Amino acid sequence: MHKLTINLEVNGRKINKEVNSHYRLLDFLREDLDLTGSKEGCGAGECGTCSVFVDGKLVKSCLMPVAKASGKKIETVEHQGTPDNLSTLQKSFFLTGASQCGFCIPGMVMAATSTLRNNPEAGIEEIKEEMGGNICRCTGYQKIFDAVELARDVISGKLDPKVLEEYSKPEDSYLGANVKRIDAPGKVTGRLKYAADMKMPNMLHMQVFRSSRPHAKIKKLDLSKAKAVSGVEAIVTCDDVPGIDNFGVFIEDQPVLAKERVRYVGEAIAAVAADTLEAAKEAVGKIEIEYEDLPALYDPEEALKDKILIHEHYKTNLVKHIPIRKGNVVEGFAKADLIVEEKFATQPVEHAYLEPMAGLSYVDSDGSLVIVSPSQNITHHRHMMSKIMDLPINKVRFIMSPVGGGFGGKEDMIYQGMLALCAMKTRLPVRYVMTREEDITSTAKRHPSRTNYKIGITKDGKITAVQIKMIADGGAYGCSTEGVMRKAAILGAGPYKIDNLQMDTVGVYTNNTPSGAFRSFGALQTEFATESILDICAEKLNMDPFELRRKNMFVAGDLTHTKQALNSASIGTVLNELESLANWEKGTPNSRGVSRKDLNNKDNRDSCFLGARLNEKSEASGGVK
Amino acid sequence: MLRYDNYFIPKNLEEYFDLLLEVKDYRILAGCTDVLPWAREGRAGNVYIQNVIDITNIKELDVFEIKKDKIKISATTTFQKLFTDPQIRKDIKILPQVSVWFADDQIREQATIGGNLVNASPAGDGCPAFLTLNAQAIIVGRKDKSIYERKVSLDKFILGRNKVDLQGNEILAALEMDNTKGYGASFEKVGHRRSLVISTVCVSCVAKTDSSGKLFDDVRVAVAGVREIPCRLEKTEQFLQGKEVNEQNILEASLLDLDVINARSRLEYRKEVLQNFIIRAIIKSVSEKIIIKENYFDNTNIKKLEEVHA
Repeated sequence: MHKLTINLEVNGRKINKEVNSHYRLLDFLREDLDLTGSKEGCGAGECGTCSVFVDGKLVKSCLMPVAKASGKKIETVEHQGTPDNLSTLQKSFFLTGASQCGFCIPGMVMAATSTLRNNPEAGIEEIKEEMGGNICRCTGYQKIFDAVELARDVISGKLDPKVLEEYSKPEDSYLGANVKRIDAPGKVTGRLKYAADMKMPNMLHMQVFRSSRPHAKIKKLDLSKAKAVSGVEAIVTCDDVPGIDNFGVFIEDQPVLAKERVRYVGEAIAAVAADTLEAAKEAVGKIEIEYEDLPALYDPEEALKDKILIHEHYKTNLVKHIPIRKGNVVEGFAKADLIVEEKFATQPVEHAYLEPMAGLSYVDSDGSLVIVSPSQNITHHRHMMSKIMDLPINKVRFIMSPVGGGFGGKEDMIYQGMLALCAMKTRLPVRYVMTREEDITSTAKRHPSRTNYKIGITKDGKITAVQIKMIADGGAYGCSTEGVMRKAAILGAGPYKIDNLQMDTVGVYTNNTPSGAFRSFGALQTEFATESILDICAEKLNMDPFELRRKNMFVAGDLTHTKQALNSASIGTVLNELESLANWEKGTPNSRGVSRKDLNNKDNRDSCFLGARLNEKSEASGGVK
Repeated sequence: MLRYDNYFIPKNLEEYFDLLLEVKDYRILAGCTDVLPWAREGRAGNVYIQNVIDITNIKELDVFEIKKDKIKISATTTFQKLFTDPQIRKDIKILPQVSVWFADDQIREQATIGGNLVNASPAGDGCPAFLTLNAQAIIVGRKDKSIYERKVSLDKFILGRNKVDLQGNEILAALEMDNTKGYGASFEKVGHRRSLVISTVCVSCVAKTDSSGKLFDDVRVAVAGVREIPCRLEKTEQFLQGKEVNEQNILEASLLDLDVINARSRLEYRKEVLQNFIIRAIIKSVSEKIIIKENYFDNTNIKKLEEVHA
């Protein structure tokens, strides 16, 4: 690899070093200096997890070739404070609970530091605007903004620094109490090591060759040119799996690497382990494949006709059908004064955790296979891995690295099998870090859904019957589809008394990206339909939507749709709170837009705008030094 | 992943032109904020270029002159400089306006105006703003060992998507633009989020009224995001010239150039947004002088006018 020599100062330390000439500043900081507080969330300048100061100006280090940094002064999050000596901003982040998964936080601390350096009196709009290049997926930003405003007021002397130590002491309950998050100091200082930050001696880098076809037979896979690339230690395919090459959370239908056929674009076919990332990438580029394309299914309703089978041995594309039957819907609809029928659809959604998938695997001195990864379900993964690798369970160890956001996306096992195969084959530590693009194309999404909804209701707003059928696109493999269908069925009709209910949730195989676990686990799709149709009913019945819900809501003592007795029911309290917080304009919800009285109240947040630093008053600030 | 063997940072034009004679496989870079995201999966993928040439340190390119009538700024000027420079903020208001909508603070520290123009994206934010300043592209090249300079107006410099009028070894050196002291300005943009977003529609406007403050004296409006090459709205501008600053005239003017839209998708949406942006940008540009009733521009008046035109 071509090298160049750079001279620069990093966190006050002078460095003269030979580096890979194509490195970005971020690569140099992380790989050569082990300053892993700067993260790579996207590699394309979108997320801000890699923000660092270059000659006092905050930039995204993933967009700066290292050669450009030569002769400059670099300041990273590691220079801002240590876990036992936090900066004022870091203490504020700690106090407000702004660090949740923590992955965006080093970048956030840098962006906040830059904002307050540019204008120590920055107002909230200026703070929002200047930190606009940094994304957080956990907090919804409020706690982060709270932290920056708090730090600003402490720095300016408006507040006593003692406020930074004011954690509440929970007495009866931890609910609502602001307790210290013990992991926060490691996160706000960038010291906590996520999987991609870990390194081991002689560590190899893994890269994956993926399917470009939605549905095809693999006619020929030629690895010879890839194997010849200098630095390549191993290439694994499905032929390397020693044990049972079928895994899954509910249905064991997924091979570690595609076996004979591929079922979605992005499916892993072969994995390369090499001594450098560059060699591994080069080798992946030299893998040759011949496909025989098969007709593909993209529409779950079409897939249910079973004209083409995605997993032939199952004889059907149905993954799981969950029915719930209660009372008699025909009789229920007969009692209704109003019947509303609607169709609802939802799209696939990416989890967008800031930490892309990453893992490290090695074989320990006692022969145990070790997988370090931000998995949300390590016990189950361990059991699956034991079967895949044909190892007794006591020879498989899973270590959960800090999860840089999961939201269910790290619940399904995605890449750990490939890592294990490479580690076992080479007997060397192997690390795999997905790029953002790879993560989006190959990992599970929220189930896209189509729901047919029929509701019967009386003039005075009592629900008499509900009939729901949701068809969900499970994608190419089962993953968490079965569990998602269960929860969609159990919770979908909402917290309402319905004597006559017919609920069906159906998960289907298609050649789309697999669908998996995602916050609310299926309840979102069906409840979205339920709440939407109740609003439609309220309008048709000339009734306030809160009142309509109160007439039907569960109370303590009721049985849920699956006959669980409720000792308590909180929906009444929730509705009251919601109504008052929203300044809800009572009555039938048939007015829209600016005429509504619940808009533009003091509690409503203003719409976003840019240019807080453009008005005359802030002329002195605006990043001007 | 972008890979290259050599990263050259020429210090002057001679060195730069000599380098071009020496190396074959090369790409010219400035801020790098486009090329690095481009060399990733889903776009160009893994890219290998033997040599990259970084032009941000060429000393002859380093100009930043603000004169009474004209300003001349280097192509390697960053957008953050346009956002923060006190003189520019005071006199050429459209530049900080467009900058605040451009990417985010951090990318603006690196991204250059030259890179934005040479990239010639139909959705580029810089171009419409520079068009409203009557920008001239100053191009330098070397022929037979002598360095020459030529000027071309920005609307002729951009030839199409990713295509600009640069021949042989030429580079874009600087922009010469009007000093619009005394003009109001407004930049309007919509995309999927607030920071770091590619324009679906963007409109740049600079305008001034006559000494009475009642008549339009000079109105310049340009658009991007809705067609391959950003352009000025000539009919709109001509219609308003010398006319009274009032709601009816602004509304009428806003309808005249909507046929410039030639986008791949969402035509109706873009048309509606574009018209609203033209109205809003003109109002904001003259709002220091005169108060315009924004509620005049509701659907009824727009519909009435559309019927008259139909």
